[in-house]
Amino acid sequence: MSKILDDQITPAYGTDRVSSGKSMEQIKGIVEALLFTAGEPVSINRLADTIQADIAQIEDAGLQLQLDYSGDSRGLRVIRINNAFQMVTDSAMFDYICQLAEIEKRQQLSQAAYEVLSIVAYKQPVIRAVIEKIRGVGSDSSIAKLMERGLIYESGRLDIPGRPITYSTTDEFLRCMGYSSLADLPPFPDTEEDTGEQMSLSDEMFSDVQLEQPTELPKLD
Amino acid sequence: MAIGDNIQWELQPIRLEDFEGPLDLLLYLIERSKIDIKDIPIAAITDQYMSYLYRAESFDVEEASSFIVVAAYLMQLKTKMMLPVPKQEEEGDPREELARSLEMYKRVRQVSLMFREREAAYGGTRGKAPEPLPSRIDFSNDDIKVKEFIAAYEAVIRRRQWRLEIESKPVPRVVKKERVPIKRVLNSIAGKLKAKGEFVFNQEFDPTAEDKSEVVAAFMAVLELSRMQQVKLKQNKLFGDINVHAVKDEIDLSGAGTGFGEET
Repeated sequence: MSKILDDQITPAYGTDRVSSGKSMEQIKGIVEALLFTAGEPVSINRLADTIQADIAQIEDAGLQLQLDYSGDSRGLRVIRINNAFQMVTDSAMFDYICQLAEIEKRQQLSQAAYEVLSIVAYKQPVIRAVIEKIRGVGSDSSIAKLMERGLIYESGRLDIPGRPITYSTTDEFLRCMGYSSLADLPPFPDTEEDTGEQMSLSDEMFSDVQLEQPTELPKLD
Repeated sequence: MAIGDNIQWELQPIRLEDFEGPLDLLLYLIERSKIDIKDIPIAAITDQYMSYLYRAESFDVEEASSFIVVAAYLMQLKTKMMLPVPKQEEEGDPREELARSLEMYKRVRQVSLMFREREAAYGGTRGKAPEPLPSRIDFSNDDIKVKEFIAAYEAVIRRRQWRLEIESKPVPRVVKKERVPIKRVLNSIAGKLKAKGEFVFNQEFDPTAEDKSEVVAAFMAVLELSRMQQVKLKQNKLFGDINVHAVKDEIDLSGAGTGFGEET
């Protein structure tokens, strides 16, 4: 199929939208080359600046590349993480890569770590006390492990006594889970009676953990 | 109930390590018995839970404490269930809170399984290192202004040189006790302020001097003056110069704290 015909049957990429004078096919090619060269994620803004194209054109080109690379015969993938594209190897090829590099597959995360990750993913930014309240058990080592893997990070501090650290998920988390953004996370499962903040264990159970209402400290005379 | 069921759970080896926590164990007991989470027979479940605790092979205190907290909670719940509730004070089912916690934990566990699967499917993607192109470094967008960068670099070098000078000097054999009375510095600062109204601390007192006692005394004196609200201190940036301004024309030293008054 000739390129001209291609343009005619896909009006979304017709010449009228290409303000820079480059066709969608050209832009796709340039994006592909840039992603290959960069290796790291490249933001859509930066791609648009470099190519002198519109944001929408870059987004289209990236999406097209994602589709082009999605076939079984390809070992590379183009992924989108938040507002950046990245060219990566297909996850299914990881075993072969390990063999080539003669490295061990890295250890799987523990069940505890996955539980902590689940809570952070859906309740971020979240403090350790809430994580432990939901799991009913201390979670220090799991949090440390997830930090070490770069899946969560310390995103701030809560303005309550003690100023506890809050945790959020990273772009690395999105990459590992194959999500483009947090909006891609499926809804929290089976929320029939979940009306918001019902996730607390009994206060009697953990009476030492006071979260929502910072108590006034007694004044010293 | 078939006899086999009973025997099976009686004989199951118990390892608390197999459970992710007390809620995991509770859920296991509940799911095994096919009970509705919203209608837990507290007495029976508490007994089962406790028997698991008693027969735990290893008992890591830290690990076990969370199990014991929940045990205590179950006991309390059990008591509540046994006590008659005055009709007007009905607060609803005391088990509701527990049911909600378990429900929440169950969902977290569900999500964690999903994440485990997704990571197996997607976690192996690898990006490559950027191609080594010349002039990849681009500072133009950085927030650090070149001037500040150079200044910081120079400060590091200066400090380094100063340290080298100190380290190259022989260590004095006799450690002298050379205390500068704060009172004396306080008076001399008061004099300075009366004459000039303000001064820059780092210029009047050299922090790099070999003998620190004067700088330390002067710093204490300035802090004391600030406490007495006789001076205002201003430092524009971290480790920057400290400007000392007199608030009034006369410096009133009458409020100086003990230890600042007498000469030693």
